[in-house]
Amino acid sequence: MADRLKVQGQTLVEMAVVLPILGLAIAAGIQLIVFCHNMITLQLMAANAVRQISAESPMVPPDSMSHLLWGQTLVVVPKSSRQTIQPWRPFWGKSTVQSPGCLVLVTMQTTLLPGPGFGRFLPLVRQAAAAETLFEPPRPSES
Amino acid sequence: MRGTLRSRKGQLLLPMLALIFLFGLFLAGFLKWCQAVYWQMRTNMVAEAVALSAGRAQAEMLNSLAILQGLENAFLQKVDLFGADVAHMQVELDKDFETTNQVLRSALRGFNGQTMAVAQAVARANGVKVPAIPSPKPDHHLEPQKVYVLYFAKLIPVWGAVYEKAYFLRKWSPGKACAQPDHEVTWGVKKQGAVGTATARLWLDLTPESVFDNGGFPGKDLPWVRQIGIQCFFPQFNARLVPTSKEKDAALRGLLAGL
Repeated sequence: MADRLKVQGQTLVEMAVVLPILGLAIAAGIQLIVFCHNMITLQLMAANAVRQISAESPMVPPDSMSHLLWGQTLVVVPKSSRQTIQPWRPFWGKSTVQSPGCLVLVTMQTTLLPGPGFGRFLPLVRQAAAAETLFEPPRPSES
Repeated sequence: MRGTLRSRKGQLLLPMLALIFLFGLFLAGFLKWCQAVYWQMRTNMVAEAVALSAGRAQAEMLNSLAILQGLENAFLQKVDLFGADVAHMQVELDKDFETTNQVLRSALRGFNGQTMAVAQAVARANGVKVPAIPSPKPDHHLEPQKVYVLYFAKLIPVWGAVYEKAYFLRKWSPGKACAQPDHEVTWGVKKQGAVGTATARLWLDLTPESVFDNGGFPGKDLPWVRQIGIQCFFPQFNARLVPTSKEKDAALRGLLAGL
């Protein structure tokens, strides 16, 4: 009888102490994974955006990967800034293309919101990833 | 079963260990995904670097070739007579012309090799072990032209001969004066299992309004005025990245996946 009580007591202690700690550790781990996953996804979005910019147009392409973010996040805000590099053109003269190329920096920003359950106590986490590329003026037409 | 799972010394040990194990598996899978995504991004960058470097190497060589070819005008003055190229050359300049022409031809022969060498050097510098693969094979897109040369000693004609590869015409955009080069090569690289592709295209840094723009090299089917001498105006070739077509991307990925 005493032995049985002892076993039940041990179960109670494990349930009351160890399980919450384990649950909390796993929840924290998952939060960390969500954070890392979203950072990588944002970096991937920025990389894809600059890849498209360098090959096609200086406009930041529309976002097509927001749905890949985990957790509750705000809408991804792409920001771009341009900087003309001096000297830019390797050739100079009257007939050369005069529109300068530029260094385009694309930053993808979002905010990871508190989640349900334990997560509601978590603070807002701002996340941003940036990538940059050289954008050259478009190829002249033929005639 | 209950007895084995719930020992007297730890009733929840096994379920907790199982939970930790599952979490560990998930974490390992997640890290693998992170690694794959980062390698893919890195490989894409390497492919872009390879494509752009190879394209710029091609542009640089075309610039040099156009300058060399333009120099031939100092030795050989050609005109187009009823569809045939006829040229005047002073006998004492024959050797100088031969030297310039040999340099031009050897530079042209080394065009593809130099492009490949630049691409592979950039790929290797970025840690790629498998050779970068181009599609299509890089080429200068120039073709040799023969010229009937009349040799003169001062004002007296001495003899005549056909010079087989006196200069080179551009194959691209026949009939167009302000032509843009059509050199476009897609490069595929493989690094850490990830395959990246990128395409670079050459362009001539010259506005179409320019009167003297002739596409960098003499072209086919142009007015006679454009065929006086060897016209290689504005050797200002450059390269830039362009979108990769889905077909080429799929073909290169398939090819590199097997390596």
